[in-house]
Order: sequence, then C-alpha cells, then structure tokens
Amino acid sequence: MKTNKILMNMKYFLIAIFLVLFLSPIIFQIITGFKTLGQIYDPDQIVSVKNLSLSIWKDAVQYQKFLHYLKNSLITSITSTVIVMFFAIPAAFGLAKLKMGEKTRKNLSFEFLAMRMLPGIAVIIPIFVVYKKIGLLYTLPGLILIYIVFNIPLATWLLEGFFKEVPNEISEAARIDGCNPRTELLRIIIPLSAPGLLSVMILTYIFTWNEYMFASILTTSSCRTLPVWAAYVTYQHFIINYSMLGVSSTVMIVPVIIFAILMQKYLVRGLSFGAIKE
Amino acid sequence: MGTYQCVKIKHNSEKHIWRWCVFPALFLILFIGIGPLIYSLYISAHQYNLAKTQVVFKFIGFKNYIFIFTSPHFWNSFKLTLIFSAVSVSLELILGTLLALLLINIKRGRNVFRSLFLIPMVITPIAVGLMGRYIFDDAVGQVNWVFRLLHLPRIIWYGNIKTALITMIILDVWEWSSFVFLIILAGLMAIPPEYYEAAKVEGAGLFPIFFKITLPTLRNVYLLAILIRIIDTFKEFDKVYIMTRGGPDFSTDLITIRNYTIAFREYNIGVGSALSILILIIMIFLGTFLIRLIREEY
Repeated sequence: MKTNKILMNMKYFLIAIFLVLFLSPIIFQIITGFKTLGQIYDPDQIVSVKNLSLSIWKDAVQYQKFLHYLKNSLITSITSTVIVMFFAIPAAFGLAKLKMGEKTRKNLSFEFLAMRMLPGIAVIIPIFVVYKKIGLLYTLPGLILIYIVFNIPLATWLLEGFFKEVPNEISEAARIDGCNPRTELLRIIIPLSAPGLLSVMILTYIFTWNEYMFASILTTSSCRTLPVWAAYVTYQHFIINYSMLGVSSTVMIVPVIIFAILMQKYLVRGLSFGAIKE
Repeated sequence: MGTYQCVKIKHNSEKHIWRWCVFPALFLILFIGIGPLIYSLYISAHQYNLAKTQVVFKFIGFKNYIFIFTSPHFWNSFKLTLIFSAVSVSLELILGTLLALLLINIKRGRNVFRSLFLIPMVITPIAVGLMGRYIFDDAVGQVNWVFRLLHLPRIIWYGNIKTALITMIILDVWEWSSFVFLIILAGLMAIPPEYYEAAKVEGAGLFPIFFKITLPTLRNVYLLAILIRIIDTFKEFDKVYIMTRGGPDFSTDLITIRNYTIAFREYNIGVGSALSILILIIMIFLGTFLIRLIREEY
C-alpha cells in the first residue's frame, strides 16, 4: 500500500516535469510580448518577469496595424467555416442517412477522406498560376475559396461519423410522422448531433486560423492573415524582433488554446480522421 | 394500390436526393482540388519561369523530372526529410507511450492534464516556429539559459549545420508527442481490464504485460499514429520555414521547403510542378495504407 503511494507520487512528479517542458516555452513566448527589447537582450533577465509593460502591444496596434490583420484573419476563418459547413452538412447527411447503393456510399465517403491527404504544396503552384491569370491572386476571397475546398473533405468525413451515431429508428419514426429529408436534417439530425457539429466547426476554424503556407503565397501587404503578418513583423528589416514575436504569437495562440480546451473531447477524433472515438 | 404507388414515388425521388446533397461539395473539391493537379502535370512537362521573361513557355517532356533527379539538392532534401520523419516519429512514439502509461491509472486530474497536454499540437505552427526561434536563440533563449545553469556548453542551435536539423526534430517532438499520447491513451482505455487481471493471476511482470498484452492489442492504434505522423512530417513546412528557410547551407532543406523555394523564390514553376507531382506520388503511396487502415477501423 505504501509503495503504491510512493509510485503514485512519482507519477505526479514525472507528469509535472513533462508539463513544465511542454508549457513553459509557450509561457515565455507570451511574456516576451510584455518586455522591451532592452529587457529581452539583458542576459540577467532571460527568465525574469519583472517590469512587464504594455508598450509593445501599443506599438503593434498603432504602428503595425495589427487590428487590421486580426480583422483579416477573423473574416477569413469565419467565412470559410460557415461556407464549409454549408457544403459539408448536406454532403455528410446524404452519405450517412439517405438511400443509395452501399458501394457508392463507401466509395464516395472515402473519396472525401482521400482528398484530405492531398498535400497543399502539390496544388498551390497551379492555383497560383491560375489566380494570377484571373485576378484572384493577393485577395482575401481567393484565399477563402482555397480554405473552403481544403476543409470540406475532413468536415464531411467527420460529420458523416457524427450523423451515423443518430439511431436510424429515430429517423424512421420521423419519416412515418411525415418528415421529408430536409425537415429530417433540420429538425432531427442537426439538433441531435449538435456537439459534434460544434466540434467540427471549431476544428475547421482552428485549421483555417492556423494555416500559413497558402496564406503566405496567396496574400500580400494589406490582405495578410495573422500568421503571415506574424512572420513578417518578426523579421522586419532583417532583424528579428522578439517583442513583436511575443505579441503576434500571443494573438494567434490564445483563442486556439481556449477553443481546444473547450472541445478536448472531440479534438483527438478530429485529428485522427475520426478513427479514434471516445 | 394508391398508397403503394405513393410510397413508390417517394422512394424513387429519394433515390436521387442524395445527389443534390453530396454533389455540390464533391464537385467543388474535384474542380478546385483535383483540377489543379492535372494542370500541374501539364506544367511539369514545360519550361516555365515567371522570373525570367526571356525563358519561353515550351514543351520539354521529362526534362524537369530529369533535372530534379540529377540535382544534388533534391537528394539532399529527400534524405533530410527521411531522417526528420523517421527520428521525429520514433521519438514521438516513445514519449507518447510513456506519457500515456503515466496517465492511464491516474484518476485525479486526468482530464485537466489531458487538456494541458493538447495545447502544443493545436497552437498555430507559425507560433511554434517563432517560439523555437526565441527559446533556442543562442544568446537570449531559455534553452541556453538552462544549459548555462547546468554548466553545459553554449550551443548555436539552428544557426549551425550540425544542430539545425536536431533543433527541428526537438521542436516537432515537442509539438506532436501529445498527439501520439492522446491516441494511445484512448487505445489503452479501451483495453478490457480482464486482460490485465488474467495476466496478473498468471503472475506476469510489468514488462511482459506491456509487450505481450498492451502492444499487440494496440497494434492498429500504433499503426494509425505512425501513418498520420509520417504523412504530417512529410508535409512539414511552416515551422521549419519560419525558423531557417531551409538553411544554414541546406541543412534543414526539407522536401516541401525545396519545392517552395524552387517555385516561389526562384519562380521556376516548371521544375516546381514536377517536384510537387513527385511529392504527391509519395503521399498517395502513404495515404493508401492509412485509408486501408482507417477503413478497417471504421
């Protein structure tokens, strides 16, 4: 019994060490945004948290137009998420609940999953060339279009899994009561799988909010999103600006952390393509 | 008779409703997801450079591919990607398993720990890259501060050919170990406790239990984690690009970064397309395995 208790305490101790290793870098990064460059380059203050100030944040708002890029990011992510759901919900409903050949159902459903594996770098070059020709290059709608297309597959695949969990008996009972497929989706399926729906929305939001490669290629100057802006202000004038690094990183990661903790139950499922359920 | 007909009509119309539901999404992703690939294949057989206007757009067959295969940079990138992927994924598996075994029997606070551990993998990859840039800084970074505290030599982490790739691996392990951990933990919780009780009755020790019961039962879970991580490490771009842009002296020039450099810094669209087609072939190969596995699970 006593050895058990020692073992337990040892476990907690090891977990604490891991937590420090995993979380302290993020905390240091956030703190950097509240330090002046002088404090950052002082070798005695590398880990100190004294004399923190908001001056860098004021700089970011006043001179670096940070609110403008935040707005860009919010517009891009929210619009993409809404439109993704608009396409993915009916598609998932069709694949999960409507009558069709079993073989077609399986093939279509895996078509969506396969699309998720598509590496962005493989399609970005032709998209860049085409966008350049039709004038969508360096505009937010162009970027949003790509985000929509690249997030529909996973959203559909995950939603299909959630919709399938709604028992068929309920759908059948609804049908007997006179529901057509549209009312069945709106009145039965969507309310019953609301938590799953919400988690897919948050996941799509996080993916678009975090995306860098497409954004760095398809946007410039005033239509940058936050990650592109963060990369840009940190390296302005070929000198790395660690204070600005702290500010821009904090703005990017805080909303994501809050979202992730709220939906931790569904996050693993989303990131493992729905294979891991709890 | 009347009712029967009514049901039949309803049935028939429903046969086509799924098309209205599924096809908009499907067409959109086929048109903008697959369409460009075909165009990419077409460009890859042409000489095409956006930076040099004197270079004309013309058909050159497989010359772009031959250029890639004879270029030492490509083989270097390929080798680096293999090393990066193999080492990162192995370390993540070990660390993830260790964490999962630590947390499986803990009742108090497990959910809190789980939420805390998932933070590294959800935060913006660019923020992770910038974080790496800061904490691994040779002068003001916290890592070297700890090294100084322990009287270890000061290391120039990502500015040095020898340690740059190692730094990237450390950062990737930091970011993604918790993903492996969460998958394995879910798998562990699904193992019926009777298995362990039976083993205990037989008098099996801690290690035999792990290797004879835990690992074999979790075979598919591990395969899933390995495949997803291999695919992601092959796609790795953001944090390495933000930290080193493939330098110093091509020591972190992963294959996606090579592709980006060719296409968007040298504007050699032809060769870039050819390389992206090659990457796609590798991904299809890996993805097929993963899909087969998920299909079994689903």
